[in-house]
Amino acid sequence: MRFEAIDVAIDELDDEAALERELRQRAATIVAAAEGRLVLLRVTLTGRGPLHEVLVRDDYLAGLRSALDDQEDAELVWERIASTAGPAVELDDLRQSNAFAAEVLAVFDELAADPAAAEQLLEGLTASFTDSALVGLATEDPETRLAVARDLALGLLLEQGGAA
Amino acid sequence: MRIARIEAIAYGAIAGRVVEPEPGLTVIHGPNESGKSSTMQLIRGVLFGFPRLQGEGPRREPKGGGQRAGRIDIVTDDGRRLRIERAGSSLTVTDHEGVPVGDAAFAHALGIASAELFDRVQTFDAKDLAWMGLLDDPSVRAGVLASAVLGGGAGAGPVLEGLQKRADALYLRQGEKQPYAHALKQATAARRALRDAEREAGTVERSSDAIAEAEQRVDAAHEQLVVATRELQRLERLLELREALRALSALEAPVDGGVEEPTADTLSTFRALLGDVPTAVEARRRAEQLLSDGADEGARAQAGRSHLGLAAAAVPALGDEAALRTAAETVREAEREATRLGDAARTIAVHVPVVAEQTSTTPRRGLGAALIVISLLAIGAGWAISITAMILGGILGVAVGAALLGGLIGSSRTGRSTDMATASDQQRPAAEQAEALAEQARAAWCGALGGLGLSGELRIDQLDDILTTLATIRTAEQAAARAGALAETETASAVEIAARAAAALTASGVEPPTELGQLRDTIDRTLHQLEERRTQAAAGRNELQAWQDRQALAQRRVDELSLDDEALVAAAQALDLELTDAQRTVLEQEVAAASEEHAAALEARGGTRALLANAEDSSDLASLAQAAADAEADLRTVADQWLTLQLAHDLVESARDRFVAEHQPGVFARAARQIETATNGSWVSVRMPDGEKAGARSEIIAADGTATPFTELSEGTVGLVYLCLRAGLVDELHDDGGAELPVLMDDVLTHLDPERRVGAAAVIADLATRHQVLYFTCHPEQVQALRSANPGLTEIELQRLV
Repeated sequence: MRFEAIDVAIDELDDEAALERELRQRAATIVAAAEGRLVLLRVTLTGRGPLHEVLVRDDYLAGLRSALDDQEDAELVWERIASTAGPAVELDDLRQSNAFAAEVLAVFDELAADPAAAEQLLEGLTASFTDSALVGLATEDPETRLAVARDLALGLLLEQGGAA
Repeated sequence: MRIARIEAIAYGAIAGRVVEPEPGLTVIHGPNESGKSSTMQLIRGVLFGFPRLQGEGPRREPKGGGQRAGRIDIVTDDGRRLRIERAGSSLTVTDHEGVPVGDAAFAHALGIASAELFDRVQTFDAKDLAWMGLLDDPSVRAGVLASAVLGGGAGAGPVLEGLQKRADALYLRQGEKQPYAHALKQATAARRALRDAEREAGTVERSSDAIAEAEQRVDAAHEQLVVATRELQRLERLLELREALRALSALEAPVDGGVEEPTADTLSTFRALLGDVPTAVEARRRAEQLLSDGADEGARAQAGRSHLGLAAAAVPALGDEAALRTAAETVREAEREATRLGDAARTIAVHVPVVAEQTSTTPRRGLGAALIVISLLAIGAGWAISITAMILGGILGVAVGAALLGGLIGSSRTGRSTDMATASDQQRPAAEQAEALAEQARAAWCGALGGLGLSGELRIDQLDDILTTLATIRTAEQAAARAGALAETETASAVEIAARAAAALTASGVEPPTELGQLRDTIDRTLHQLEERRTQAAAGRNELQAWQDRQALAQRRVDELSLDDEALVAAAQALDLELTDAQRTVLEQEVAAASEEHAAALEARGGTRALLANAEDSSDLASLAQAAADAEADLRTVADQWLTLQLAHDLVESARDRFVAEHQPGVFARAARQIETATNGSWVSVRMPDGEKAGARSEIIAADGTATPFTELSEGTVGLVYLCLRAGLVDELHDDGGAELPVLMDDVLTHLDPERRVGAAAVIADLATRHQVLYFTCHPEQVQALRSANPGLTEIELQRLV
């Protein structure tokens, strides 16, 4: 058995079909190199692109993983598909605009620039998590978490068409 | 931009309607069902697209069918007039002369405006005013105020709602069905299992002693059970051996019947004789027939012999018959010559002297030659059959014949004479001589008969009869000889078979019959007896074999039980049955008790082992630790997702509050001026809480600075405040860089009392000084209020459609 983790950029992918094709091709290459061993594959979607609007839909990634896992490939298990991808926007242009999205972006930027504030906010959010397994969750790579949250929010905001 | 002309090409029930608003305030009024709402929706549809789904707004399909279509002329901020025509999803933009100018000019005229913004900022009705009463409700305020203030249509509301919904789906503080709760339970359970396993690890050690005790008990019970069982088995083996020995000795050998079994060859011999004996009988019958036939033939031959006077001599051969025929012919010739010469002599003597010497010499020579021949034959025959008389007669005949042939006889006595007178004398002796010769020939015939052994009495004229009889004799004698030979052969065959049968019978102890006719019955009876003996012998043999088999079986059983242990055999034979029964009863009780103890010990050990197994299973600390780690990882994954969503939500919310705060002052300042105008200075401002702070209330501020919560205001006052806020928002949006857009109002004065209505009409009239306002209403009092506020307004009256 082999555990594999790959990053797949969505920048050049136009739609869901293109994403599935890309995932299958990457998986096929890994399976071929595994020499018959079972492969547990973990995928992280990265980059920016219009596909982000699809990725932020409820249960899309879970459905995608289930659909891929249902393929008759006994040598491959799609262990997890996660996304840190962002919407297809130029953040710098957005920052210069007068839109509400610019305000959102500014809030994230300010927090990213103030790790203590970010940590305080995250600690506050996780205050109700008393389980020992969640200790340290708030301080676990806050920069990445902020970026993911920012892209998630911007993606939804732009999808609503109200960013302008 | 402002709207200069509205034309419904195909839309609901207002196809063909044309409305031409003017800058400033245009009041479009008419009764119910005059198409006011359809006209408002036509404006939105042409500018931003017709709703495709029912949920996006009224579809207003054309009454006459076909696709929805409308046309709006707009005047841009720079004074250009554009015609916007939309048919279904097709959009056409032309200038005032109908020349297409492309969509860009229209898009520029709309600016950042979207359908959502148009709906929420530029278009409002009496229901919107009613919402103001709920402004202290956070969700309502977020949906109405914030989205309107943001100018972003749906703005942050749906985003916040979506993020919160997704976050809540993962985790709620009191939630029990969310993945977080499930993962937390899993993790808790896994950790508990791990702790239990660690505790059980101690149990394993404690269970070791119990297992050892249980094992000892099981071993002891097993030993006891084995001993008792073995003893019982030994006793039962002895009993079985005893019974086997008894069965072996009880076997009795079959009695030998003493039947001598005939061999297969003997039976074959008799079966062959059964077919041969009739052959012998038939051969004997044929021999008797042949002998009878031979006797008849012999009698016939004997009769022929008697007839010919032929004694026991052999029958003359056919060659001998030829000499007899010649002799008979010679005699006849001689007699004819003698007769002729006698006749000639007698004639001469009567009529003329005849007889010449020459004529008389020829017959004599012929006779002499014939006599020689016959005599030679007679000599030959006599030589052949050893008859001396015939030989001597033959010699004499030869001598006489030679004399006659040489003329010695007669010529010496007569001599030649040519004298006719003496002719008669000369003829007479010739006749006599011929007669003599005839006589001699007859004597030779007789000699020939005698030479053949025939009767001399036989005459020449019987020659044919003689010859026929001779042939008959030969045939009969030959037939008799053949019959005799055949009879001899048949008899020999019958004798051989009879001898063989007699030998077989004798060998089988049966006296052979003397009569051939009884032989077959004897053979048949004997064969039947032999076969019966053979069957009896086979039955006896089978019985013997069966006995031997039973004996071998019984012996094998004894061998199996005794294992060639003579002591065991002796013990079995010496077994006391009564004592054995008692011993067996005791042993059976011991076995039962030992078995119960063994089962109880096993059960006890099993229970202990199960406890230990459970402890050992649960003490698979590595796997349980892994499971706990996996469960905790799942929990952390869910929490991680929730944290990201909640972070996004909170930051968007924060951004919204800040955005609202940044823009509120302008909106509120403008609204305050409108409120002061509308209330004749009674109210001068409004104040709305920051964000969604708990307990915060929206308030209106009086001229003296007192604040009154919205909830304490009348519905009409709240509606008036909201109208002012919306008017301020329109101004704020435009002044903040937004495009100039017409404002559509639908009966917004409905819920206001006359006093507030006048104030509100003044606000609308004031708004219309900076923006085009299209006011739709079916209420004349509202029209009147607006006329009062703005005497220069444009009125367009619509007629009822139905």
